Amino acid sequence: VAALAGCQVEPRATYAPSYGARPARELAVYRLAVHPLHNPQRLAEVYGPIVAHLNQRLGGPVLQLEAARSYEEFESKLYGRNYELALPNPHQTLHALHSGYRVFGKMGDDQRFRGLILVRRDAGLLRVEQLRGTTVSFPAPTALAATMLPLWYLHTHGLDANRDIRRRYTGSQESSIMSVYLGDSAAAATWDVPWEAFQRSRPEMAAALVVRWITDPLLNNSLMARDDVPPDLVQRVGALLFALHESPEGARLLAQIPISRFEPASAETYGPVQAFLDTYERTIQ
Amino acid sequence: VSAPSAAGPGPAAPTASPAGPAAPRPRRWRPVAPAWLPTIRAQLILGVTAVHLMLVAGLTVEVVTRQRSFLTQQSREEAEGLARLLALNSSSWVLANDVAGLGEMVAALREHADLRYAVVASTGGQVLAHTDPGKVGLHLTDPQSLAVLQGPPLLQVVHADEALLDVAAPVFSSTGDCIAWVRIGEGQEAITRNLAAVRRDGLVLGLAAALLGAAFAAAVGFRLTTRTRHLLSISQGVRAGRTDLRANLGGGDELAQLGAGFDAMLDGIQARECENARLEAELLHAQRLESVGRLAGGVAHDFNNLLTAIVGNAELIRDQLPEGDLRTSAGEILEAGRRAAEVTRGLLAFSRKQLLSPARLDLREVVRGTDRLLARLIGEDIQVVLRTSEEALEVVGNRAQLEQVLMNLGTNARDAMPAGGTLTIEVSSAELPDAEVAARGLRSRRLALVAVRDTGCGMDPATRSRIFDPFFTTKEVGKGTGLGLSMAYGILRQHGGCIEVQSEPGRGTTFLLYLPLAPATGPDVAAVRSTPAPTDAPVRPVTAGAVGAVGVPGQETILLARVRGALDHRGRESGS
Repeated sequence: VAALAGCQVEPRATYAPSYGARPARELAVYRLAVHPLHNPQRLAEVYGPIVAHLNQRLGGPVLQLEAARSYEEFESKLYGRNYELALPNPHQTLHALHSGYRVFGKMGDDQRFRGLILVRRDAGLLRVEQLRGTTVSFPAPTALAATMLPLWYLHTHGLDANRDIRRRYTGSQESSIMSVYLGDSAAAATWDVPWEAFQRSRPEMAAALVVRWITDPLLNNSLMARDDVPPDLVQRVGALLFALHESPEGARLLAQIPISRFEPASAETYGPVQAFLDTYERTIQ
Repeated sequence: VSAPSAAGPGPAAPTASPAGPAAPRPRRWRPVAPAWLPTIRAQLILGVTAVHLMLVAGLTVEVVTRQRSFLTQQSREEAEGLARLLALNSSSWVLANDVAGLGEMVAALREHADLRYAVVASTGGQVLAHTDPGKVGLHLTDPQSLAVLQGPPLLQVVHADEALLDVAAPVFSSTGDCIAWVRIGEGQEAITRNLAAVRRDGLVLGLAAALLGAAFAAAVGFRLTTRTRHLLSISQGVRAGRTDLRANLGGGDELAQLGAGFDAMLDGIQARECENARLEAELLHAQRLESVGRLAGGVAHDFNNLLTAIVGNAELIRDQLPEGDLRTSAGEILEAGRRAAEVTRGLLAFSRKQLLSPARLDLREVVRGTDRLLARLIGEDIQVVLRTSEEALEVVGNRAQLEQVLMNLGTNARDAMPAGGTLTIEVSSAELPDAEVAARGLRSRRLALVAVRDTGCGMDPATRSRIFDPFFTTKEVGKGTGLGLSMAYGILRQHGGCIEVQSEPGRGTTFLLYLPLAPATGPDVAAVRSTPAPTDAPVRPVTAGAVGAVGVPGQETILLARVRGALDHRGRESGS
């Protein structure tokens, strides 16, 4: 009885996880970050299979998809050189060039890289001028297709983008769309890819909205590699991506984005974007 | 195995009969008392205490085992739930590699009291978030962690012991890919504390139960052994000769019943001893009366012969003397001789040396025959009540002697009731046990009983013990010879019966006369005749004209001389 009750022995821990500065098994992991085209889960659904496809074929180095919850976060990490590989938008591409990244490819289908301005079907908004004095939602200030192109469109179609509307940056494409659906804003800016995704995922909401205005297209998102990533890896990743559309499996993966192909590109390819941005930044504050 | 008997003489061990082999005896169960537990009280206390302790210890072990199982399962479910929840919430943050957001989520888990650590690690083992922020960026390197990272993405227990429960849960993306791992380490101190509390409570309850049990056992044992020792002391006292001791155990339990049985046994022993003492006293009394009777009979026999000569010669002298002083003196001598003859007759009756003419008598008729005489004898102040049985009570005896007995008893009753009262005579049958028959010296169990009861002053034990002694009397001098009851005693004894007295001062006196009933067929006179017949006839005054053909009852010279003298005198007077 004394042994039962009298001897309360504090149990001594026999296990605790141990930590080291280096992994027990060295693996070359390269993070491939995609700018917030979607929320992280959706982004994983779309780009996860492509990353898996690449990992199966690289045979050594491991690519790890990384999403970002916001443009700010993505840009902060991108400009801080946290990603080895990245898929930024054209505006971010131009800035990342100054952070040691180089362009080695881009999404195809530049004609689809355009801005869309959505309104509620029942809002009765048919002319740009009707937006004067209203709130218009945008994903983020640096979203080229979904923010800069729509703002430039409004500015060049009868409104002073700096004065006639109240801008609301929602942080993501989907939030921007939801903003106009919920009536928090009179119009919402986005671009084709997220709008199509929204139509698929929430058709009943999408049915209440209508694309009222469409901007001119610009160059699509780029593929960038940090300057310390082995060139052969960049080359091999590029080659795999650029060949995706050549196989049915690759085509199905691309259709998820959706684009028809990836294609080689360089910093010079984004010269027109730089020109647009120069004009835009001089005009739109 | 039998324990050595206690000091002192004990019951003799049964031995085999010399006539043959002993019959097999039933085996008797004899418990073995350990030497270190010499008393029932000690055995009871230790036994009850040990049983209580064992029961509570067993119960505590059972409760601790069940509680340990329950708490361990509960802790595991809690840890798994926490890991699952953290994994579910971490998915987007892992996809975004938002270590700050992950850090905030993990930090929120610190509120869990038993949480040792929470870790979100990449599939490569790099710590993305940790409750210890200093470990963020490090890599898991221990074998168990590496086994988890390289194994299938399943919720699993990495480690479990009394100190720590480590659970790992995979973090899945929306496509079902494992993108990270969550590790939850939950300390088991609460379980240990809880179990220790249960054990402590068990100890307290066990000790309390043991103490209460021991106290109860001590109380019961004290009562048991105290009373047992009391019984033992009583038995020792009885063995030492004290028959007045009694256990007098109260209560209604088995020991009290044993004590009651013990007391009843002692009562029986004492009653038997009293009865034995009474019978012994009666025997001694009877022997004493027998001795006295034999002595008195011998003296009376000789004295009777002398009296015959004295009375006869005194009568001759008186008859030959002329009227005058001498003739008067001779008459006084004659009268004194007659009174002396009465005394000798009583003594002879007491000593059973009277001649009897036995006959078959109905005792009821004998008693009824004395009714008128008794009424005349005792006077009008005393009521005589006579009760006889309906059945005939035939005895073999001498009617005159039996009537004499009743008359003597009536006389005594009259004297005991000077202010009047009731004299009751009951005649009935009785049947005594063999022991009583033997103790009374009776020849038969079937008896006729005559109870003579008065409502007089009664007798004290001293008087009662001597009333059958010859010449003992409480009457004034000259009012009694002191031979009435002695005669009654002798007559009853001579008839094969006995007489007893029951009396207490102020409560009257009862004389019980037992006479053996006659056999169903034929007069049985042998019983009475078997009594040693007296060789001497009682003194019978010889009167003139009473003698025709004269037989000589004795051979003594004096008697012959007296007879010769008397015949001569008669011859001279008659001239024949």
